[in-house]
Amino acid sequence: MSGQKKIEIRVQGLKKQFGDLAVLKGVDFSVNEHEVVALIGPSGSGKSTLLRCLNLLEFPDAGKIFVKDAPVEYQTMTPTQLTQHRTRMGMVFQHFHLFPHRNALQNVIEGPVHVRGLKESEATEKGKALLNQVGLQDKYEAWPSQLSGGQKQRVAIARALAMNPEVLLLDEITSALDVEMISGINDLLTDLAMKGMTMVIVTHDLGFARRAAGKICFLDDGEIIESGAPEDLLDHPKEKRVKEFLRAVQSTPLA
Amino acid sequence: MQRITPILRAFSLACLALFMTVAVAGAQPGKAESSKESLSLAMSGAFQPFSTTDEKGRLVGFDADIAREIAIRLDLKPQLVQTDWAGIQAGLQSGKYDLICGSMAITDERLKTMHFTLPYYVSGAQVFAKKGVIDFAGIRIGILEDSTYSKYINEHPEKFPDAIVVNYGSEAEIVAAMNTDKIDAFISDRIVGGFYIAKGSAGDIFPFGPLLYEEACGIAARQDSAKLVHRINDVLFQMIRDGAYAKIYAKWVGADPDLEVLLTSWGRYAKKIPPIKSESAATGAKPQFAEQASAMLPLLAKGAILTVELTLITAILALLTGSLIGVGTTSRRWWIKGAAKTYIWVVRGTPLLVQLFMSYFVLATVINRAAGVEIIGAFGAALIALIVNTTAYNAETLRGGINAVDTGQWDAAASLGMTRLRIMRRVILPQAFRDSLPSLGNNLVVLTKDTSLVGAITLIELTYSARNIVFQTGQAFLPFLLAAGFYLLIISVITVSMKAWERYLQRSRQAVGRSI
Repeated sequence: MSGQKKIEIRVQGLKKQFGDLAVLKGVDFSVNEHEVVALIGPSGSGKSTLLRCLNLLEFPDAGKIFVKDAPVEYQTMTPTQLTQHRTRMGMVFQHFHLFPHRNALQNVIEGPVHVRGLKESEATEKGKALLNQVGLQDKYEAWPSQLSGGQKQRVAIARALAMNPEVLLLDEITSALDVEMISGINDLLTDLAMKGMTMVIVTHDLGFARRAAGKICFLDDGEIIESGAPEDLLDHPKEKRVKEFLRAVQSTPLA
Repeated sequence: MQRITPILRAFSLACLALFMTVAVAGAQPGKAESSKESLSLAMSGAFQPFSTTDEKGRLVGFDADIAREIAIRLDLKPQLVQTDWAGIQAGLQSGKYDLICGSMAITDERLKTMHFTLPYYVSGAQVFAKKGVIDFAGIRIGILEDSTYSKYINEHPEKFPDAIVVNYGSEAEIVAAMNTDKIDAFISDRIVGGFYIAKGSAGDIFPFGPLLYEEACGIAARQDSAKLVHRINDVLFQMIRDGAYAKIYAKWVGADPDLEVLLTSWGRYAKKIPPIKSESAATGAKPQFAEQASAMLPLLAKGAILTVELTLITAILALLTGSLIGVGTTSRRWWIKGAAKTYIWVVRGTPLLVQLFMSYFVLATVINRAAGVEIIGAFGAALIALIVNTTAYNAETLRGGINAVDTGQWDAAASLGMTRLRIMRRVILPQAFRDSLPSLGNNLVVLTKDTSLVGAITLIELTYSARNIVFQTGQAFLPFLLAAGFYLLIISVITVSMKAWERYLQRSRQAVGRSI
């Protein structure tokens, strides 16, 4: 695994407001290279918004973002710089958002061909390899409508990986899946982590966070109120809110 | 400015003509409340000074006054009907009105299908040309379609060497065409032309060459109305004797009538008056149905080809422009969004017929004048109007489709580093298009039928061809039935093709997974 620790993403004082609602109230956090960071916390605490700010699907109102120590000048960047930044951050969504009018393979090669400018033959070869990697070697030509939820999410992961991102942002990607699909996707993510993929994972699956993450950050009401190694945060939480949350989650079976 | 006024007048006339036809047709059932029986007389309302409309839209003019006077003297309630000249005979035959009192010249051809009264005025056909015309070579002559003039010019092409004949549906359109340089000369009634010269309403024109022939105009009736024709002849004679006729004539023509010429003509036409006994005289052996139909098919097919051409070219181009404007309505730049929405608002808020007139009489004229040659003819002008119109409907349809695409698609595509434009082109528009296709197909069906309006700017498409056959044969049922069949065929082909295209684009939504 990783030798010395280099910082991949660093965020300082990140703020985001939607109308009157302050969703992020000054978030500081960082992700090391080859590290898996899990963001947990109650609904509406700002986890997804934080993730979406990292690849600038949402523009923060204030705060600094550094990628590999270089500042991301999101206030002044050109559209080209913006798209470049986004290609470095692959994202997978809870509801997959596959392009329904393109088959599995076309979904995967859309970015490489039309953003990175790869030759179609080259992208196809690589796309097939990625679909093999996520276990869909027999579904190249399948339409999204013909795939199960788990299969769709595998295509979405392959689509994100096809851009060779430096970081993978995963937004509750197993929350919409049937229970029997979840472990397969989790195994896939663990496998990616083993290969050294840097990942930021928003999740409600604390068991998975414990197994896969190197660090867990607990968000509450737009702030990270506690972060640390999984065994520290999950077994010996310091903050009252974290304790309450963990008690509430553990007393109800995972939906 | 001086040139624009006649155009506006032509517009308002055309719009009025439409409105009046509808209004009068709608008003007819209400006539029952009057105790007096009414006599309905049709005229074009576009033939100064014989029939025109006043500022309140009422029919006025020499024909109108004569018509009223005749009805009153017959102790009937006059009911004047304004109708398109091109359809005026078909309207009489189908019983929409009792008589045509609209400066219709008495000809042997027309006497085969209608009865005429004795002439109520005598004039003649005259070429009027704009100043500077010295011969017919390359000269565009405007002709009132299905008039004695068009018959004459067809039978005597040698008298108009190298002239180009352009057909119009009304005298008002001919005047508008003169004023917008669409034609260089026209044939009209000698008296009418004199009236134009006096008013300057058709530009700087002069009577070109001698009178082509003398013409006597009578009031036309169906062949089952011989008795009525005789009663009108009596009334006409009364009017001439007691001076009412001369009064009306002087009021509108601005001179005293030459009663001697008029009454001399009666001698010549007297033998053409139908005998009272011939109420239901058969017109001889009628050709068989199939024979008649096959005789009409070539003309209709020619019109159908024009209809298909206009439809297809418009459909393809309006799909592209419609997509552009549709995407424009979703732009984040206020001025693009504003422009796109304004376009849709204006075009959908105005009738296609007005757009056709604007395109033909204004846009094409301005461009052709600027270029010095005719770049945009009637076909080009029709295409422009149809594309402009269909674009607006397609854009509105696609706007709905674009807004209906899940916003997650934007997120997913943006997270891959696609630009807004590329997301629109590669991800959003294909889905919006796929889901809008049924509505776009519907727009296409509407377009196909809307092409029937281009007849208003001299293009002989399917409906116009059918009307032409109605004038030639006096039969209304068969030509329109066949035309309807052609439309049905064209639209069926379109519908089936659109369905196939839809199925192809919907292939990504196959049965599996639809149960979710």
